[in-house]
Amino acid sequence: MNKIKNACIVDDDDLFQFVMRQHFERLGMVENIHKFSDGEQALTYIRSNLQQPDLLPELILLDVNMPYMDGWQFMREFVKLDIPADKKIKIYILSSSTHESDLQKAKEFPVLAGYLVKPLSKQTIQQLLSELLPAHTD
Amino acid sequence: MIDHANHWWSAIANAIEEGYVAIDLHGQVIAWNQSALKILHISETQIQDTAYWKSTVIQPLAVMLQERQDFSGKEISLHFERGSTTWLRTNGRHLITDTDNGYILTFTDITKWIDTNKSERELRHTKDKLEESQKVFESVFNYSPTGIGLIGPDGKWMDVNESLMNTLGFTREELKATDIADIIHPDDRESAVNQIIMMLNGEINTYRAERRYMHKDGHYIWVFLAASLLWYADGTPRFFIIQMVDVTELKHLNTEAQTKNIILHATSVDLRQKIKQLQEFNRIIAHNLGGPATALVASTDLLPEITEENDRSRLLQHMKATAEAILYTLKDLKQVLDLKENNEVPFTECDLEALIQQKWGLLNPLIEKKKAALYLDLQVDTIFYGKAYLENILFNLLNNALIYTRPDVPPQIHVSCRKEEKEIVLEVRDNGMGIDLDKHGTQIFRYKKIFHRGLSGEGVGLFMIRNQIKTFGGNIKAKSEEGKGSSFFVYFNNNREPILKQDEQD
Repeated sequence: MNKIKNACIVDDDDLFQFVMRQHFERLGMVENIHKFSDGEQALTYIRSNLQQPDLLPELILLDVNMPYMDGWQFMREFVKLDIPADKKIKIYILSSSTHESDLQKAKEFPVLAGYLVKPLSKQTIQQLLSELLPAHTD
Repeated sequence: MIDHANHWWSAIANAIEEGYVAIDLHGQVIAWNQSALKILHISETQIQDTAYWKSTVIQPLAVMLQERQDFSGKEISLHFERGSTTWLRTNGRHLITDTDNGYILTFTDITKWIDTNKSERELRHTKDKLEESQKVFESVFNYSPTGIGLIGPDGKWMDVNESLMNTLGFTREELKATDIADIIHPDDRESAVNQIIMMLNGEINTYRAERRYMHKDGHYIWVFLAASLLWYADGTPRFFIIQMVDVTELKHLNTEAQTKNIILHATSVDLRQKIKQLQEFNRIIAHNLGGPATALVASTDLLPEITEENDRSRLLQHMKATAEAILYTLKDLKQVLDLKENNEVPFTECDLEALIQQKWGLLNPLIEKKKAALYLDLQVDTIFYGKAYLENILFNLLNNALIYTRPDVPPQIHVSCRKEEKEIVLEVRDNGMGIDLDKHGTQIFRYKKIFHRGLSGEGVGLFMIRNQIKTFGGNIKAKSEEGKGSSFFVYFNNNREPILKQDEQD
């Protein structure tokens, strides 16, 4: 069975990070889980690996509210990056509420794959990951 | 007898002021006197000349001579070529002797009399009109609800009507003994004098104004007035007519409306402020309470799945920390809400320098470690404020200035306080690392927004003091340049009409 190479969880909430990591590990669908506690850290990682597509994430779960650089500030920088053409990066915005203003902002970034409201159940995560996997040929 | 008469004849004829011309049966002029020549402005030759009697000028008389009617007291006019008119009162009589039948026309120049009569008639007409307009004026003057006064060019009241006496509370006699300038409000005197001068110079004919006049009771009333100036025929000023209506009540109503408007505006700004604060609370609840709470829920779902003891205990540790964070946030929010509920913290004149030194003293370990220096420039040395709140503001701003420093740059912190138009401004300026306000400008006063990695900031201090400052109608703003330093400006309203000036942004 194929595995997703890299997934990033960008959230400053330690408990959320821990729970997500547990789910990801239990699902066993991702090789490397990268943990970042704010947007700036995540951006630095992506920037420094632009030449190595294998290290770039296929999936980013991005919290809206974080110190230093929040989810929206991250998105503004991310869209400027020169991501290799053959690299598909799916980004989901995470929020603990459905704020109308957040929903509006999400529309400003067509590159976003979706807007998810916390908490994320194991099933939801599984579904997200399944969609990322190449079609089962084996 | 006849001889005797003939001897005096021509002397008598010339002595008679009435002019006469006599003709015989054939119309030949047979007699005239000097008065006739004088009245008709002709010579002896002309009067005997038949051509003269055919000229246009003399036709009215020539016609009478031809008609030979007996009459008396007929008024006719002769229009001379020079353009002048002479009025004559004429009489006609047949002259009958034993042998002859003649006719005599006598005439008197009544031009003067006619003219005088005419101007007398005109005068009478003018007088009637004048009387009529005087009656109208008297009626207006006496019964108008508007106060009317006549004021001499010397500024003395000449006459006033009942209404004006009622308006100002003075009797006619009292006013007549008063110079108008003495009862105009000192602040309005200059403009009044200017307008009077402009009228006397003929630059304006009338003016209207709103002025304060002193009532006899000593208080000032607002009047709306209209003034005009009457002139003598020779161009010297005669008197001013001034009309005034008491508009004090209207003014009060107006002021009241304005006051209400100001309060309304203040209330609406205040409400907008509160809505913003509510939105901020909403944000805090969503991110700082909702987020951790959902993580807790998610972790209780996860808990049964975890079998390894190690993972289990780590999860429980995380859960405990999260629950504690929720409690801390609740405590912070409660503090803000308590502040809003309890506006009755005693305000006193706070000695600024003493408070600054006291707070600075509390920060001593950091000061020594970083070799920080404090500079004060307090043009205003006391602030009327809740002491505990002012302490909190000073502590937070000084603390921030000591934390967000540049490595190897000893902190220099300047605290100044000065008075601006309507508020007192307290500035805390540092030479620290600064904040990129383009990037973080709208967020620096938000809850748990942290901008500098690896420093002990909690992102609560600025949020708390801003809420506190705004609760009492003040404001806080920041200026900063990354790598150079920051300035925080706290605006205190020193006269409690605060909310009006408040910054409405963010």
